[in-house]
Amino acid sequence: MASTQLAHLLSGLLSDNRIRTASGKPYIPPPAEPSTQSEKNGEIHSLGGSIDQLLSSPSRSLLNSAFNSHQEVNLCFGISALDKFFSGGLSFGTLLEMGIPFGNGGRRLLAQFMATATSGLSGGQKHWCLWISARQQLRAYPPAWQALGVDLRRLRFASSASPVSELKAAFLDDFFRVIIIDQPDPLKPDEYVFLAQCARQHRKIIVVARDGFLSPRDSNTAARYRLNVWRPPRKNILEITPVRGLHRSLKLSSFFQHPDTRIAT
Amino acid sequence: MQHSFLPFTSALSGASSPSRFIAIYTDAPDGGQFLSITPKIMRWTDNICLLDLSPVFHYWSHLAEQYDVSFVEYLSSILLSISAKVVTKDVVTKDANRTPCFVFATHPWQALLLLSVAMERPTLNFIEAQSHLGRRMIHDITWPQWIKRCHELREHVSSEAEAEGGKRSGSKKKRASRGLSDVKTSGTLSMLTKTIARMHLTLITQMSDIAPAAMHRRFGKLAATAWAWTWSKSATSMDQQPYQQPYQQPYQQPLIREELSDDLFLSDFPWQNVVPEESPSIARHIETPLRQWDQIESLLCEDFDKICTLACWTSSERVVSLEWVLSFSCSPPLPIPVLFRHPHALHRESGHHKTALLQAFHSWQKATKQHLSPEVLGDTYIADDTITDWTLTIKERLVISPILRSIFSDDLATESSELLRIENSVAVPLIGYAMTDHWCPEKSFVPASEECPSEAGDDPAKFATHQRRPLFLYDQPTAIPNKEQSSGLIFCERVSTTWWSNEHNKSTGSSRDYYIRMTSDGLLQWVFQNDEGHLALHGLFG
Repeated sequence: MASTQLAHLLSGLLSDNRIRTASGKPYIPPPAEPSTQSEKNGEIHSLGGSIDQLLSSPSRSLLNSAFNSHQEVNLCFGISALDKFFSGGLSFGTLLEMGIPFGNGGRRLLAQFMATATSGLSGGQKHWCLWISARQQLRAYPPAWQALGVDLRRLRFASSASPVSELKAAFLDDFFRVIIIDQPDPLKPDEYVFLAQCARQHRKIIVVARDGFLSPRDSNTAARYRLNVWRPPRKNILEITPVRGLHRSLKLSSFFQHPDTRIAT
Repeated sequence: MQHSFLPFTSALSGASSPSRFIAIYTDAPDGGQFLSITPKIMRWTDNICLLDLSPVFHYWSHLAEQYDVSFVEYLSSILLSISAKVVTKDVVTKDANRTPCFVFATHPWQALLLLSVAMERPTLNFIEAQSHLGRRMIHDITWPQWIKRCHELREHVSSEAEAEGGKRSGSKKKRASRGLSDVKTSGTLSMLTKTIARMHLTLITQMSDIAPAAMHRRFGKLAATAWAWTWSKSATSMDQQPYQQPYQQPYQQPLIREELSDDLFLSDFPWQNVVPEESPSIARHIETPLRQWDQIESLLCEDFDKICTLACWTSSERVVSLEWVLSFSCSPPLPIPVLFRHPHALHRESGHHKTALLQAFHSWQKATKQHLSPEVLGDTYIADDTITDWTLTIKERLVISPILRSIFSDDLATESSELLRIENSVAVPLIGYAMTDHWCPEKSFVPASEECPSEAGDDPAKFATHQRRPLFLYDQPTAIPNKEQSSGLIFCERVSTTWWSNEHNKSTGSSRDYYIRMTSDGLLQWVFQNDEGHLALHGLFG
């Protein structure tokens, strides 16, 4: 019984691993498409999606050559449904704000994003990344990050309750291309403006992950996208609901599949 | 720069983390070229130097990472290239076959003792006290070697006490190190020598079951303190504790310092830095409010430029720490230490001093917060925050040897140098991690700077295990009350703990069964059940 439970539990993880089968090859993001009928019907996308199909598509070599050139490409999550959701990944120069209640598995999406950024799976270029956390007593567990595909040599962790003032130099420099601020409380409005400006000027992707849900009433206009990521009670899915910048919701199968609830397919 | 790394004549295996101190046999007059390695050098005897790597540990470990070698290996190769010239004089006059000898240890006393042993073995040029070999060698120390070092220690304590007495006559302030200042009256080392001779003892291990307290009763505080240093945890193997009752070790020192103040566990050790003849310093008379950084910044930038023009500060030197002392008309002076994580080339940023100003800003912010806090000002609040003058002094610096110029070259704008520059500009450290071979979750990673050469993390089985583990771990597991323990646990794995180790926390038992637990509010927790059936929260899936 226990092994069956574990198999269910890890089903999301295994689908996640499909990205690793293409180790050494750049991950090619799915092209931006209008939402399909199945998505409109609320079908749930498996993490990893159709990466293998995409890698074997005839257009791959063409895309690869485009990536190998020095032009800036979007950075993908490595989860095809999510990359489609963002019209082919996140472009450099973006400030993204996410409301992710801490502890429900939503930050795994951000760790996945770090994996594609540091390992060069997206676009073939390896980027330096910075994860800033304001949490006391709780620290990152690097082996789990590495197991997701993160290249730990290109990732730095910092602990700061005032990230904008204490790590200003990191935002004002081109070195770290992806910066994630894991902050329980919201930042000040002028800090969001500063971050958006840094992202634009220094061609970075900055993500602010907050514990509480975002609301349109917050009126944070500095962020290009604002999303809520949450796990509905007793459901094995992660639901991504846009607050700003996008117009449709997305449901992903959660990496954690509780055996007492319906298994997401 | 291409380096040829040392062909080690001793093993590194078994060393759990890099050591902070190095003892070197040399006859350079003033710390010589070792000032290229660290600003904290002590001359122990005419021929022995002690190096404290804490101010520059990050820098050297970062460079070692670039060459994909361990910190100790890299630094040894650098030391060897420097010492080739330094030791030459000694080679000619004393021992033509003697190779340079370095001992790395977590405490300077252990480094000194092991150096005594190493000097008698010409095949050894390098010893890491925490390695298997180092831990074995500490058992080869003879009583004459140990007592000789104690006599040297007594001389240093006496000379330091005299110097401190001269400086602070009339001052009530005393350092904790004065605990050893009774050594003159103790006069018990001769008694120890007689006892050893009467008992026909040769090796110090023959008395290893004597506790420091017993040593104190019979032979005085100095001998007891040195005895405790000798048998510190890192110097003994896990299964060979020298005496039954572990004692409080005051020298569990941090490898990386956070403050410029007199530190830490060295409070009892008579550390005396080799001080350069002249410290570059600039004084300024002003009238500026403490709170107005904008005004301070431009003046400070001018002062950095002025320092660069001083004859005693050349472009081949690197600043490691500055002391910026602000004076007020009514309040006492406010010293602000400005520490750099990596040696900084001040001349390189002439005109703007972006890095130095950012670091000064972070230190200023911290200091002013404390200075202007109601607790410090008390009830008699006087808005005296007008700076009347300040002094800017370079406290610690590296004097780069011509042999090492290429290492400190500013010409190469590599990723590595970019990272060093950013780390020097931010207020909090940026930490990278590396994997270890340990199976316990909390011990399966270390900061990248402390990575040991024997450790690697490419085991596929471990990789699969780590995929099922959470992204975040609590510093300490927290017990979950019985009433909250639900039955909805999903088994993940069983982990054996290091129950045989002295560091082992008994509350975690000899093995742990890990589960994923989903709380009623949807939290995904990583919990374990110990041998006694108690649940503890260890991680969160984020």
